[in-house]
Amino acid sequence: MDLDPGRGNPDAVRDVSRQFATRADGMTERARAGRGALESLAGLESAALDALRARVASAVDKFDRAADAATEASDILGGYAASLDDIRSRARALLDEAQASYDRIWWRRGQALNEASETVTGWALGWDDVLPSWMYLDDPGYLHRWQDAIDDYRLLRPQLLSLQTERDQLDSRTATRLRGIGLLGELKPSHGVSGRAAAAALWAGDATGISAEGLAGLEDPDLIREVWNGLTPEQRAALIAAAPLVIGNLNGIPLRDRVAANRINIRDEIAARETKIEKIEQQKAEALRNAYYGDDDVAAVYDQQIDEQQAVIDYYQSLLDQQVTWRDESGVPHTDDGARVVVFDPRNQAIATYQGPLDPATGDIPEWVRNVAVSVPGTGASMTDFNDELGSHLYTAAGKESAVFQWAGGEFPQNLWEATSSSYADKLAPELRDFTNAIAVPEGADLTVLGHSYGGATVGLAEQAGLSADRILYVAAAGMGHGVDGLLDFPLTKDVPHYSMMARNDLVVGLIQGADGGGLHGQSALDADGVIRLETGFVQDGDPGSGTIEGHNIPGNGTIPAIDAHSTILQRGTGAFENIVAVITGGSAELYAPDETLYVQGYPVHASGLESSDYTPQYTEVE
Amino acid sequence: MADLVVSEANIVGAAVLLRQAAEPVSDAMCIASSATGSDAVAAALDDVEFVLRHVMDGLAEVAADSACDADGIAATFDELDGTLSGDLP
Repeated sequence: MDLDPGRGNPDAVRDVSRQFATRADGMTERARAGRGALESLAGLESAALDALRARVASAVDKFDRAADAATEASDILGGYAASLDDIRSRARALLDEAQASYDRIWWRRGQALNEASETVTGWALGWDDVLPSWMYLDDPGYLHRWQDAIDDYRLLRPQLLSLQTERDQLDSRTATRLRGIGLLGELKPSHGVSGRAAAAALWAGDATGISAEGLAGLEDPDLIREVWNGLTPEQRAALIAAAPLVIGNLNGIPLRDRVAANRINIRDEIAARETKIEKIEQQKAEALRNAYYGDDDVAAVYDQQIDEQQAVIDYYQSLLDQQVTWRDESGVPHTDDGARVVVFDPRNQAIATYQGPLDPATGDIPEWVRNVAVSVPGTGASMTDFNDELGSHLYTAAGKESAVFQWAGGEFPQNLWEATSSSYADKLAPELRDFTNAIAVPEGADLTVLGHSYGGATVGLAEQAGLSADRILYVAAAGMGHGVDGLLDFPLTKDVPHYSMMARNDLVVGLIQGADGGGLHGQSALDADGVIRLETGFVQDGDPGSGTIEGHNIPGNGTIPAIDAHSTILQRGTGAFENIVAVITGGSAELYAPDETLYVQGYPVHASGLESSDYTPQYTEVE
Repeated sequence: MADLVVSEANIVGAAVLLRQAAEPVSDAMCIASSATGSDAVAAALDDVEFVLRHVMDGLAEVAADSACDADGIAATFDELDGTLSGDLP
């Protein structure tokens, strides 16, 4: 019997119990000292002393509660030790009885079989086997007594199992009681060792020793922001310097500080790539030394790698050199050096930029901003060549009371074949949800989340995962997300206004629009229940003479209008672009003009609603 | 105008008591899982010990900071008092 219900050392457990009791006493003493300090300060009046008294009173209360927690742990362990004693004692008795019973089996076996018989037949008999009676020539009573000894032994096993079950239940109850100690439940949710340490320190009222990893482990962006804002500028600067990759990408950290951290990250990444170029140069030199022929061919391979690295370095440098213009509450333009990069994580191919004002006091979006937008690009978005021009154009067009994020917080598909997979969107969606839900949107401002192409499917999956927003816009979206049937799949956004738009002849995503969640990227946003389709309109908004988006051919790129329409939809000044701005700002957006089917000489001809003779733009007020 | 009733001696006394509260309670405990004979109980104990340890350290830090603040307030009032009484230039 290989069970041991009595394992463990009750005396050691009692020792731990006493240590917790000693701790409780220690903390009670400290609470007493704190009360003494409060008594010393009683009757004294000043603002500084009032603040000090409040802190000391809080600490006294916490010392008392920590003492209670230690006492509770001590009591639980004391009871556990007593129960362990009892189970050990019973287990010992059972195991002793089992050993004696087992010994009796061999004694009875020895009585039944003499040495010669044991040698001849014993090898074939297990410990719980008895020689068959037809083989036994002696008194069958020996066989009966031998079998009885085996049966007696077997009866003990269920008893031992039952005792083991009792022990397992005791352990489970004790572990549950320990984890149920009130203090543990009062800590803010966190993950990881650092997060747990930070949560405990914050409970105690001490934020000074929190590390960047500890902050990141706190999970709740509002708490992270609260803790961050409670630090001194020196403490914040120290954390940024010590862990820029953490701080620059941590939801809850004010935008200004994320930007500062990401400047460091961008410089670090440039330096890393410059080091890489040096290594490639060395490899190239080595290869050329060893080459027998074709120096140019040998060099070309390395030169291409160097060019690739340099291109990324140049792009990252452009982020640092970029001039960003924003307008203050009075509309006065200001220009700052450096892009506002609020996400920059080469480990996850993540990048996001911010266009708009920053409150000098909070470092976040100012309270007077009314319209916040998060724009998600589509296939081809990449952190090594991130195009945040759309974010800039949307901000400029939406006006000074706006703020726009251009977000590519993870790996995007880089070609149409990769874009047929929802795996990228599956990974991006929770990141988008967490980033968006952590934005400190000013009271009374509206948050719009819009996704273009693959970005639209990402937005839909983020909604399904719990993204919160005031408006959603799908722009030439691949769908509402694989598995999404409609708005009812969105726990927090099913009741907010949803809009969509797509050029009528969009060949990039037009042919993959799904009828339900089973589509490649889920239900099409164009005809989902509750989604309002908007018009893409003309190349110059309001000017039919400029031609429709559908008919526009971008000069020089070699693609047909049906392909170009997929991106012309984002071009400044187009009807589509103006509608996007209208959704962001809560203005008037032109509704989709339904197409018509005409019959010419008996044959059906599909005619764009824009080209209908009685076309008149119809508008909706964006809610 | 805000009231101002101070006693430097009392504030200094409070600082002394707060420094007592800031003294470390005890060393960290190392709880071997063989003591309990149960991984579940040992893990739960580790969690309790971890949290209590960091709470005690945090409270000690708060008490120490409060003691420093009390000292600072006392020193400030002392200097102010001296200035107002004309003892200091």
